[in-house]
Amino acid sequence: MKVLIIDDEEDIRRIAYLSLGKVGGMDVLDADGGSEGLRKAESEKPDVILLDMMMPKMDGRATLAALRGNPSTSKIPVIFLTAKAMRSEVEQLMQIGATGVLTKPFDPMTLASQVRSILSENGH
Amino acid sequence: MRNADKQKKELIQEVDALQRRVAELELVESQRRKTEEALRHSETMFRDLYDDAPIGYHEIDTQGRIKRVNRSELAMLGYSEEEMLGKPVWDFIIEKGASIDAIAAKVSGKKPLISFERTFLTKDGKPIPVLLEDRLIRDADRNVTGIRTTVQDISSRKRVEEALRTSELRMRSIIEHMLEGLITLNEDGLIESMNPTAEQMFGYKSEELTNRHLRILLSEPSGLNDTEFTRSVIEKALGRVSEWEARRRDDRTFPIELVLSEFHVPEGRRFVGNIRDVSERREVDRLKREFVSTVSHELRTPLTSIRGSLSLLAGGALGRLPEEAAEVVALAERNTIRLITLINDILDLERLESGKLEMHFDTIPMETVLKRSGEAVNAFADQEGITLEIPSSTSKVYGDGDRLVQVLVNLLSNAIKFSPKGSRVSVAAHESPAWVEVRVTDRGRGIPASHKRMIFERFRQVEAGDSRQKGGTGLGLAICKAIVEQHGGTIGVDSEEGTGSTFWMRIPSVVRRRESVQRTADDRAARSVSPILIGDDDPEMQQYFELLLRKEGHTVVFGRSAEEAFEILQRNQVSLAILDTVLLENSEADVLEKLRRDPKFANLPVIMVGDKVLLSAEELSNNLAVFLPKPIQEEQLLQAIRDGLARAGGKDVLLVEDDVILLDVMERQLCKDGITVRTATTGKEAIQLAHDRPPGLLVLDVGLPEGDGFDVVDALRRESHLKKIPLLVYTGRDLTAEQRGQLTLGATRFLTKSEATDEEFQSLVVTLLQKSIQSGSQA
Repeated sequence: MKVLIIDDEEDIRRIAYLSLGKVGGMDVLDADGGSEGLRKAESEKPDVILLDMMMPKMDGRATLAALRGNPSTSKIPVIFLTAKAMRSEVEQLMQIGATGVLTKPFDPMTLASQVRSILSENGH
Repeated sequence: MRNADKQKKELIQEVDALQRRVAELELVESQRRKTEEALRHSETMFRDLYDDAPIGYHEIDTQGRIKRVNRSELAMLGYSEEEMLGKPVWDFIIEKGASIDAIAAKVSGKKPLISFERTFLTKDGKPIPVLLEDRLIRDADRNVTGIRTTVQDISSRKRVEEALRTSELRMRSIIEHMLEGLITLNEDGLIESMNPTAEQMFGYKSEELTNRHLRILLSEPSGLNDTEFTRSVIEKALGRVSEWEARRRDDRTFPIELVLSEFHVPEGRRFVGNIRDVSERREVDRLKREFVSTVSHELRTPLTSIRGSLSLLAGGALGRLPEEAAEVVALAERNTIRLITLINDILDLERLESGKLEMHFDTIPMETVLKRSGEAVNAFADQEGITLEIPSSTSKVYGDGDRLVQVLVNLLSNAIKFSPKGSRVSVAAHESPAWVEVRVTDRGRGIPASHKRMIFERFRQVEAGDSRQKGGTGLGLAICKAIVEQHGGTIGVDSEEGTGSTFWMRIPSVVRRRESVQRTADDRAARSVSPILIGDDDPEMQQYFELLLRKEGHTVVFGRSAEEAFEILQRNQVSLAILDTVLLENSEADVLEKLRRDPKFANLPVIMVGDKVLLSAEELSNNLAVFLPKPIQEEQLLQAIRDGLARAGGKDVLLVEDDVILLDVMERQLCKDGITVRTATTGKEAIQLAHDRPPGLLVLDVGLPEGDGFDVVDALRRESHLKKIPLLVYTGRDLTAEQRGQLTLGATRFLTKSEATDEEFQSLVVTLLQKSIQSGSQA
């Protein structure tokens, strides 16, 4: 399974890389922001994208909108990683097309399995 | 011989007569001497009095020249008699004197004395303030020949007066430069004065407000008249800090704290009010909360990396660690997780307190809450060697399931943490008409009475160090309390030191839910009935009332003491109160008065039951109360309830809104204030409900299915008894003046959804409803 992690924090990308790759056995790609993420999503066609909510320049919401707006990426499941986990916000993100929402700080030992279970719940 | 005898006899007689005469003369002479002596004595006495009286004394002639002056006055001024006699009296006085004629003109038969305050100058040039009292001297023909004056040294009085003035000046200057606003009020709540700070705060000049009622400064939507309003302010603010929304001259409102103290002046009772503008503090609170929220979020990012790294290491994802390394990494991971929990708790609490934590209310079986909570703490209980006893329950509550589980998990974890190994933690659930109560009992060391209240505050645990020892954040119970309170419930603890504690929470079981737009009228009637409060401490009476009233389709809540009854009234919407006189230790009049003073309860029907009548018929009717003697006649009681409810009915608010979520929010908000609410989601339904019973106020959205706001107003306007209903148009649309004209019933107000705050909505509803109740327009 190929996963693309989009987060502006390098440390988080590293943890996610270890967590999803080392622990979860996934192929991990990463991008430091929305625009690089869009490029990689288009060129690499990942099976799932983990998207940070709060990023400078292009935030998670805008990135998701762009992904959904592009026919070549519109079908890729997107799971948000966010520190803001109020229920209304989660609902909002689901409404604008998120496949799932995971909260930070996440447990790196179970992150991959959480991602997998969200995907399977959504029939991916 | 005869002749000689006769001569001798005559001589003797003559000598006798002479001797008597001499004696008489001697007597006269001695009396004269005595009189003279008395006169001399008296004159000395008067002279001494005149000279040595403790008061100065002089006489002047019509030219103002001093004719006589006493020793005291000479001593006072330091002159000799020669130096003063014959001199014009003005020479010794600093001020210009009045002429003798002017003095004569002022003196009348009734008021023979006339007094002045003057300053005398002593021989060595020292001014002495004196009080002069002049009396005219007249001759036998009543012509004025001069003036007699007493001179009193009033230096000491002047000094006292001066000291008073200085002290007053000092006080005034303190008051004028105080940072707090000060106003003085008379007994009727009329403003007598205010200091410059208060002037600045409210934008008025002191004199503009003199004799105006205090309420001009307060922005309180209230149907009370001035007297009642004054009384309610005094009650709320006398001797304690009370919070108010104040109103400036320019109508801007701002939050204040007000403390009144009482003092007495000869004219009666007065109040001085200390006013503090707390806008800034509120703003600081808001910023603080925002800061907490931002910082907490900012903390999460680095913590994500730290926790991630440690967990990867501890989990062996990066290879097996040496034993000691694994130990410290596990330690670091544990503490990181604890830090994250703490941040989450702080955030939760902040959201709860600022009302930002969302609650998703629904009817939920208590069974689910108990089961989920039990599952969540099972492993922990096993680990600690504690047996959990969790019962089953058939009760249902209206609440947020996740949040209730959060509360119960917290209570259970605490119970497990603080119980000795091998002991039991048991849960019990009881249902009463008003509450579902869940009790969590442990056999721990208990909580000292002095800590019972405190432990629900933030960062409070029974002993410092508990937190480290037991791994809590110190916020758990504060969060529990906030969550339970958002449910309209209460939380508390019964405990005896050494034998364990029972934490309990009560969640209202009154189900107020809205499932679908399609509801039958019966459904609606059943739902909109609020419970009847039974204030009675006798279990038999409680049972009697419960059986009787339930049979009649009423729901009941119990107040087992006067305090509990009041608490229920404060928290819950109650349609009617039945109060047993036994319950009310204070005289019923007080309780009733207390109740009536609160605008929320002004129209609450009250039925008193008891063994003897303690209130006059007049007091009862003044307070809209009915008294039923015990033993209670069933039919009489039911009739009184029907009457009471009918009287109170109609003073409700009809909310018409097709967005059911918004409708629910509005309903909840108004219910919280004790306002009876009916709801409709379509125009058709609204018209039907208004026909069934005219509401005290109609809150109307414009865009509605099955007849919009305009149709509703049109329909109501056609009926004479409905066209005067007060109306609050609450809409997201911008209305033209013409449209506004079309949307008018009785007193009509417009509020735009996106612009109005909840408070504005609330206060406008209360104001309109009060007006409606006062004018009886719903009748």
